[in-house]
Amino acid sequence: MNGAPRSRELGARLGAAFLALVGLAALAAPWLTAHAPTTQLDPVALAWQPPSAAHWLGTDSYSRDVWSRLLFGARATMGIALLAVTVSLTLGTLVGALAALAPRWIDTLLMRATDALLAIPRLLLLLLVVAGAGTLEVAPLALLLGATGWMTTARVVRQESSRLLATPHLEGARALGVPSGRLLTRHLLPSLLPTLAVAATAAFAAAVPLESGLSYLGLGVRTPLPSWGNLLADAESQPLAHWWVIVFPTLAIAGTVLAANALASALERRWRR
Amino acid sequence: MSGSLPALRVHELTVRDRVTGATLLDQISFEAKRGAAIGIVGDSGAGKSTLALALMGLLPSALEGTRESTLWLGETALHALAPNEWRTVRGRRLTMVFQEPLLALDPAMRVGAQVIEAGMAHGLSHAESEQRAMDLFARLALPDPARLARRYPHELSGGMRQRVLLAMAMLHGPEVLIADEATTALDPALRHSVLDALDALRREMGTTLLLISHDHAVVSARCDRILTMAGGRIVGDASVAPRSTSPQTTTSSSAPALASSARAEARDRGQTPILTVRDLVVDYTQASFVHDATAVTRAVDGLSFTIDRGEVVGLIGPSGSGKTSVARAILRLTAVTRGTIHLESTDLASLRGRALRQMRRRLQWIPQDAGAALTPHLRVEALVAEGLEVHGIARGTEALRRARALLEEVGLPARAASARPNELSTGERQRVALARALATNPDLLVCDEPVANLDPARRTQILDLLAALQRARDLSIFLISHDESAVERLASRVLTLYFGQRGAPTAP
Repeated sequence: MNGAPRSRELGARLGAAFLALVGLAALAAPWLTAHAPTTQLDPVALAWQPPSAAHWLGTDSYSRDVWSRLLFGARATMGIALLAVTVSLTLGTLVGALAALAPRWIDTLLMRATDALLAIPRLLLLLLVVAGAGTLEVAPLALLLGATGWMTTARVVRQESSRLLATPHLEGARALGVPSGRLLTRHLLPSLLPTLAVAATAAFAAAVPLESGLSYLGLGVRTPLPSWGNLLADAESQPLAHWWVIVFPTLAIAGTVLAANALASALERRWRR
Repeated sequence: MSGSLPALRVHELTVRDRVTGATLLDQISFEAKRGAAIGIVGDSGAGKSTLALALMGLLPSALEGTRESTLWLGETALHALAPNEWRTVRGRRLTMVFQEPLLALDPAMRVGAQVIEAGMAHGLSHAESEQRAMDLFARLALPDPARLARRYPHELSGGMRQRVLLAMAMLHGPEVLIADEATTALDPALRHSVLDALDALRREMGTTLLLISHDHAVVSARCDRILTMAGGRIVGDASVAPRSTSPQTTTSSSAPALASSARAEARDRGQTPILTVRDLVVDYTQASFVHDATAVTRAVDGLSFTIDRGEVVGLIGPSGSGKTSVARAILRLTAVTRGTIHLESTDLASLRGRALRQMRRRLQWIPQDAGAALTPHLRVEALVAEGLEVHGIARGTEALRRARALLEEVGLPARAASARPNELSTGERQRVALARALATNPDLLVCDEPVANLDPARRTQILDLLAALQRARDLSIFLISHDESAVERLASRVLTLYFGQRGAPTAP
């Protein structure tokens, strides 16, 4: 049983390393780039420059530095994804744990509401809101992503909480007379942490492409601010002649999603033992 | 088949730890005649289980037998078997029953199917396996074999699971059966009937039995020879004269006398009993998606009794008789199907929310596996202080101070207070559970098998501690156990539960 798990373990480590690298690069973006992400260097002479020593990842149609836009774009994309995950995880945990602890009818009410929301495709829900409210600032966009993404977490938390509530230590706490609030914070939540870590990583992996998708459609982060989705949108006019403007953002998105998924499944395996 | 050869020959078996070089078994040599019953006794750590694993060829990879070690099953040299050759031996000619039956059964497979699978793995047809399984179930005193075969392991009591494993082990009429503490978890009555059935089967099939146990009484009643192990060696080898199969238990304790005088006083003062249980019925229903019906299992069937203030009442009964269901019903952890439970004059079923939580202060519980009932990430002192905090008895540092005093009262060393449950031994965890239950100064303590997981010495210590605390605090205790001697040590009255119904009450 040594071969396969070790290579999976390696995948998880590479995933964690990749995410850390992207996070650090996003944080250190001002020091790692020579040009501001929105500066048009010389729209006539420097547009569509292929990768070179001066512009590592080339320039786009407005002569902006792609390396700089990619790094600053990571700030928007990762930031939105992180905030969205925080929101969805908090909401999901609250709803799920409440459903597990509360009387039967509240449980039924909450879980049926969750099911109903799950039945609406998330992208459709997002498009409806954005279409109604117009394009959003970064923070409201993140909140919106979080508010439409908590249902799966709620389901998982409800399931795991019900299982945990029947374990001897939670039953013991209940028999001692521990009230629900304290039961939740002191006994249940710490036992839920593994589940939440998996849910968070998986939610992150889902939020990154969603942001990119919305931005690509022009409904996410407003141009000329960079985000990975915007980079793709900018590249759309001539993807084949100027491969560098589409390949690098695509690699960044795909790599991040893969890394987060690898990490999620590794965490799940570790804690399921 | 093997003529006059002994069924099992062990010669100079030495097992070492590959890493540390420690010797776990040191030149063990013995022979077992065909059909003999050999007991192997010794304290924990003496090497009994390592010996069993070595015989089965199941030593963990960190351990290895030396080259001089030879093991013979009839004329088969076990020490020279390749892994694929083991498959024809293990489970057919040489079988083993472990201490924890739940770990040895597949939770997602009906027990009948598991036994049949074991039969087919060694060349029996499905019909033959099923026939033999049903026959063995019946002979091992399992009720309603056909229905039982369709149940899943978790639906059976511990004793039933153990017998299912025994049936699996005896299916092919093995040459040698190794039973490692296989009947330790069974109550005495059941243990005797299972061992009787096993003896009969064994004689018929000519199986040699290696009975590993820390219970000297069981081993000497069942075996014609006893090997005593200590520190990885055989230090004693004695043959036993045949004896009566039901060892006498004698108990003498002053606790019952004290308890009954307290009870008499209570009666004199005309107090209502602390607990009144009337016509209690507990059913478990299980909906089936396949068959359009729900299966109802009646765990408790019309039980009535009272417990007076300061009285210790025992409840004994065979495995699966509904003892734990009674405890859980009293504690409002399981729904009551019919009947009433009153704590003094309060109908427990009428309580909701805050009132229910406040009642829990007066009614405390030591669950069956007390160690598992302690939240693993919290410190012991915090766990004990919790009862004080949630019932507003004491807060913060005062609660912790009182918790440490309680831990001292139940005889735990000072270091235990800041430890986490998994850093303590089973016996210590049992004491933590006791301190936690006593923290709220309850009126009634429900103890579900408080000593079942402990070795005899610790068992006595915990029972003595319970008795002392009971006297000091004038506690009422409802003591559930399959171990009659444990109950009789403390209880002034003993109720017997037999498949959900009450047998005659007995006075110790």
